[in-house]
Amino acid sequence: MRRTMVLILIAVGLTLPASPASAADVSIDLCASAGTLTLPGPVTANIWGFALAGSGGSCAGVTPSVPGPVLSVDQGDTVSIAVHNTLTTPVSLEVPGLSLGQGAGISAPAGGAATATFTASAPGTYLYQGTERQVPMGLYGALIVRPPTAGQAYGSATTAYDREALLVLSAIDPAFNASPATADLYHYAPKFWLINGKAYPDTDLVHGVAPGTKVLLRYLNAGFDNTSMRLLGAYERVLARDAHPLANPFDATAETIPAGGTEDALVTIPATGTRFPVYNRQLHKTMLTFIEVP
Amino acid sequence: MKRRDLLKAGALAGGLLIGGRALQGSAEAAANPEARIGLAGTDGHITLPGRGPLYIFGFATVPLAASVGDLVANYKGKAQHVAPILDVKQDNDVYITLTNLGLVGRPDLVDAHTIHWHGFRTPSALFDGVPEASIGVPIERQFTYFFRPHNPGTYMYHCHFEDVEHVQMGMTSIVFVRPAQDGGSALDPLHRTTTYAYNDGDGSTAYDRHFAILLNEIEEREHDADEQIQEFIFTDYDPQYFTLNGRVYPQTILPNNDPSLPYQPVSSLIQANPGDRVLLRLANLGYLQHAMQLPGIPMKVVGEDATPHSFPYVTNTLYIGPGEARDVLFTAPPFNPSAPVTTDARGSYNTYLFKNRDFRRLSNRGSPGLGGMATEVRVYQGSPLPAQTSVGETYA
Amino acid sequence: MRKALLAAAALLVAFAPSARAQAPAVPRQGIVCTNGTTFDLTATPGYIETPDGNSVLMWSYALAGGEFQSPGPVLCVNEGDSVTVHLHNDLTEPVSIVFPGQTGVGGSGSSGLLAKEAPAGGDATYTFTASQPGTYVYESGTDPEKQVEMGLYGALIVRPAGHPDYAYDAATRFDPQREYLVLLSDIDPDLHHAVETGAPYHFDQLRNRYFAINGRQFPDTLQDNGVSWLPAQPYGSLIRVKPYNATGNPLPALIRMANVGTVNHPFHPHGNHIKEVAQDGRPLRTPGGGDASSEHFAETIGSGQTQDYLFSWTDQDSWNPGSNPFPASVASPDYRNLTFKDGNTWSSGSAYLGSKGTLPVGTVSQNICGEWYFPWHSHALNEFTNYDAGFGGMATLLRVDPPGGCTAVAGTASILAGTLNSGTATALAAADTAYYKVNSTVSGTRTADWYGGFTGVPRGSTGLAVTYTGRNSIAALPTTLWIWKWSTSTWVQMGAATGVGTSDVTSTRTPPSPQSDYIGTGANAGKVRVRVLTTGTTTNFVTQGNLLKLTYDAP
Repeated sequence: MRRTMVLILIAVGLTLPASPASAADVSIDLCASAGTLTLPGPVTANIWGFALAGSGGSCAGVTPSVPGPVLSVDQGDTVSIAVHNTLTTPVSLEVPGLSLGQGAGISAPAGGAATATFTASAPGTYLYQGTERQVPMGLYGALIVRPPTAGQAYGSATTAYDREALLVLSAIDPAFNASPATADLYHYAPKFWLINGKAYPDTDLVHGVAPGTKVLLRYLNAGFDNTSMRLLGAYERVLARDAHPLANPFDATAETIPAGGTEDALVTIPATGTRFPVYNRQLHKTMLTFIEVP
Repeated sequence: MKRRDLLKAGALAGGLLIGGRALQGSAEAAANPEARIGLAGTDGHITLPGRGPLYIFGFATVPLAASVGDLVANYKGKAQHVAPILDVKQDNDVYITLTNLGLVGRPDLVDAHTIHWHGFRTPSALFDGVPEASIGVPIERQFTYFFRPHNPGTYMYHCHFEDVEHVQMGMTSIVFVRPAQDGGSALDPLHRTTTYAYNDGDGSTAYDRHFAILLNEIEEREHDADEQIQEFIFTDYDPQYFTLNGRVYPQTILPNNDPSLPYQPVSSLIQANPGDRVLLRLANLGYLQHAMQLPGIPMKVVGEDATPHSFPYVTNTLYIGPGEARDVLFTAPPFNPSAPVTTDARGSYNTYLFKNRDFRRLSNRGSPGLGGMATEVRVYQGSPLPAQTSVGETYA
Repeated sequence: MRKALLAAAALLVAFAPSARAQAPAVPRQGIVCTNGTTFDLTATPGYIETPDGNSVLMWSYALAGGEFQSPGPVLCVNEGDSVTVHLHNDLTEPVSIVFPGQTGVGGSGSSGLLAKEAPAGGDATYTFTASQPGTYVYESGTDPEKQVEMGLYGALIVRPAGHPDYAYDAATRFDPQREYLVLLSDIDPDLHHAVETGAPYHFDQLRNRYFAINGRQFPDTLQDNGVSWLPAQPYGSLIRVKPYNATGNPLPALIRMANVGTVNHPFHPHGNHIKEVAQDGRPLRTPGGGDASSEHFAETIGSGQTQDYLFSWTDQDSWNPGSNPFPASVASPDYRNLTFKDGNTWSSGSAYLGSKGTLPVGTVSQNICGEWYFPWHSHALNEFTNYDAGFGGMATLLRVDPPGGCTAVAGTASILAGTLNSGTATALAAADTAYYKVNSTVSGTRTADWYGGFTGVPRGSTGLAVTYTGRNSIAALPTTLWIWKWSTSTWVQMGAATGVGTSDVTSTRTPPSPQSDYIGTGANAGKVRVRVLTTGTTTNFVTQGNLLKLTYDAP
């Protein structure tokens, strides 16, 4: 059993992965734990987040993050994800688009654990998530299934990239997070709009290589809003939605990523320019970062 | 299932579904079978958790032969939401007679009603149902809308008289058009059904069961203001309830014509045998965009806005804006005894949730617990369910 | 207070210090292009009017020296052009312009978050090569949460080199007379009021109250471009087509949609479906270059997106009162049992395109000659309002005109030379068995000279054409058709004489330009007169008029 292909790296601008191994059994132990997230202000918000468990699935001393750890597996792997729940409320895990072997998803009771086992049969960008009130608390993250050919998002050579970046979109309402069990969702009002858990100016840059090279943007909308993301100074070729390659990829400068949806888009760095803004066009201005080229 | 049987079943389904009666050889339009449907516009109340009865405007199915006086006596104040789902066939001559019965709760309000055939390629503005560009039907008057639909798919209908108000008040539903291709199983790769979403020519849209589900929202302040003769400012719109076929979870999984919901007769429960090909006819007549997910089951979008997709695609997230429609196929997965299992009169089943991805919309009025825009897909052990005889049929 | 009652576009010519950008020749309807490769824009405040009587402070880009306008001017360039946009800032805080979809945007200005900025009172310049055709937006890149909402946006059109009638390529060819911009925006007046008064505003509280197409709210959207009473909102959005016809009207309209609003807008066209052919200035294609367009009866356009649509209207059954009537039980409802909302309607009162029915007494009709009107509107119906009143906001109308335009038949007949034999003008309404007969003069060279009078022809109508069908009692007499020119009180001959014998001959004639000469004004408003002159020999004859018809395109 290959113990893990889990990347703890949350930052955008992942480096090119090593050549994938053949299909294997992959076991991932996640903790669902309470923690805090520091936001500009500074404001400290309560969160529930996923974290990688320590040895033996121990959650002692782990620090949950928003979003959770990036899980990266290879196409064909048999993947087991165990959720060790340290919260006092049940935690679900579901991955729209994947059958977790037990129907819709799994649920770990308070203080308990549950395991989902599935075959990562198709490459792509997936969102793993809790359900209902667990989502605004921060229980979500990215699952990447990689095709056999390194440096491609999918099986087709047209999905080859030089760099990849995750853009996990979400929002936080600290008032809700202060009392998630009882807060009135009707008055849910987020104050922070986040990319990978950070609000501009704290967001991470996306690093491009040079003109003519390709950056794969993996958008994952973990928030509640159907979010229109704008790219300036370049086009993105939309390759796939919800981990399904499009029959007809197209070029765009503004794309709505529906709540819970994912989208893979390939940016070819133009000949001119070194800094290309990527931002929420619905004018939530802290959901902003840049693709930067040296 | 035979088409004729379905049409007969329509009459039996009460307020749930109307299949037009197919009459051959009429003097008016001998070339085309006819479907004649009677609808009345009036008011009423529906039930939602966490509050008292909610005032609505809506439509109800009414007999064509009855006099206006009889209709007023028997149906005024008995609107349902969602309005009856209409089931018609391509190239039929569809006559829908609308009677405005007036309002029990607002005798001072003399609003007309109309029916807008949302999404149809409209040959005449007279039948488009826009009162500013055609006619409105005043209280205790009737008007017959005529259509000869040529393009199968999923559409909507709604009142367009002061529609910002009347649509929110509940005068909304789905109308779908069955393709001319229906009736033979030769195209079905499994040779077990005669029903298809479109004239696909290759059976790629064959389905065993279909479900028409209208996505909507309810802004209770608007309904309450209407009942209390107050004005609601529509740009304050911020709904508290998120509905499927006029019900919120857990109402959505009660069967059709459940006695606890006399004016919300249409269930959204999806019951299937393993391997069934299920067609979801989805439409949104709320004012918000919705992202719907069905974790555990991939969804294939075969049509959009009553147009077959040249490039059908599989997705996990259906993003549907107001006024839009999708035709979505999925195959019910095998029954999994090791997954959580529930049991009802039909046996054991696995449950999948078809639900809004916006957690705010999985709540009734913001309160804790699953509510709102969610329903269940139940996949049974074995194949206990009989063939479906009408759209959205539920099995107790 | 309203500004000078002059369209901004008209003022441009007089006051623009540099006429590098060409002032648009403003059509009554359809897209209004400001053509050029160099544009001088000024970021400036001004007020728009909303149909509920409100006046809202906006910020916008105006053509330098021109009047304030919202949205900014439609900048039209050609593929391959080197484009320069100078921005002068008359606002009190830095502003900028971003050009989504353009690459390699250079220029000068102070450093800003998303783009070079013009400081308050200062300038910035942007340059780029319009490398690919398409529909784009331009908008502020400075504090966009505030400035874009305040109105700093406009549309940029790049036309394919050598093919102004293509959106992109041959597959997107359209009728250049039917090119429309549908620019969607939304306004929270509380923000605008806060900016005006210097009050604080929390963007988390954004609640849009006004929803616009091309800067106007319905029903102002229906008004012509540049109407005097909307001085700061020069762009209308009435969409007009005629039914698709493979030979007579094969080309679709082009609808260039753009959403500069803060929210996504679901747009619903009544009548027929629209075909999406491009997004964000790039055509939708298969990997092999084939067609990947899609049809919709409603489509959500994301905040910041553009989408191009081709649109044709077709009656799949070709319903008509002659050969293919609607079932009798539905075709002629008794309007006395129905209502026309507010007693004021766009309805023709007929089930058929190009026909008018009789409306109940007291109903005011906005219908000219049996054309259809279908609303196109946001189906987020809270946006289909002006703050609180329905059938407003983000809406316009599709108008489907009859295929042959409007038709009028002569309502009166008057004899200039000769005498009445039999019949009245009623006989001229159709080519049938009824004739209006005029005896020729009875001495010298015999002539029969008469004219038919038409009424109700709207001022501004174009495409006037006269059809006359008639015969004479004796063979082959030269017949000429004339039209009355009101300005000079003279008859103008239309074309050469036609020989008309003892069986019906049909002649169609169009008068020389300008056609406005032939439509009466003042006390004669809407009147057109057409004269039929038959010149005989020394033998008496009778001219027999069967049909005298006028067709025209209503404004």
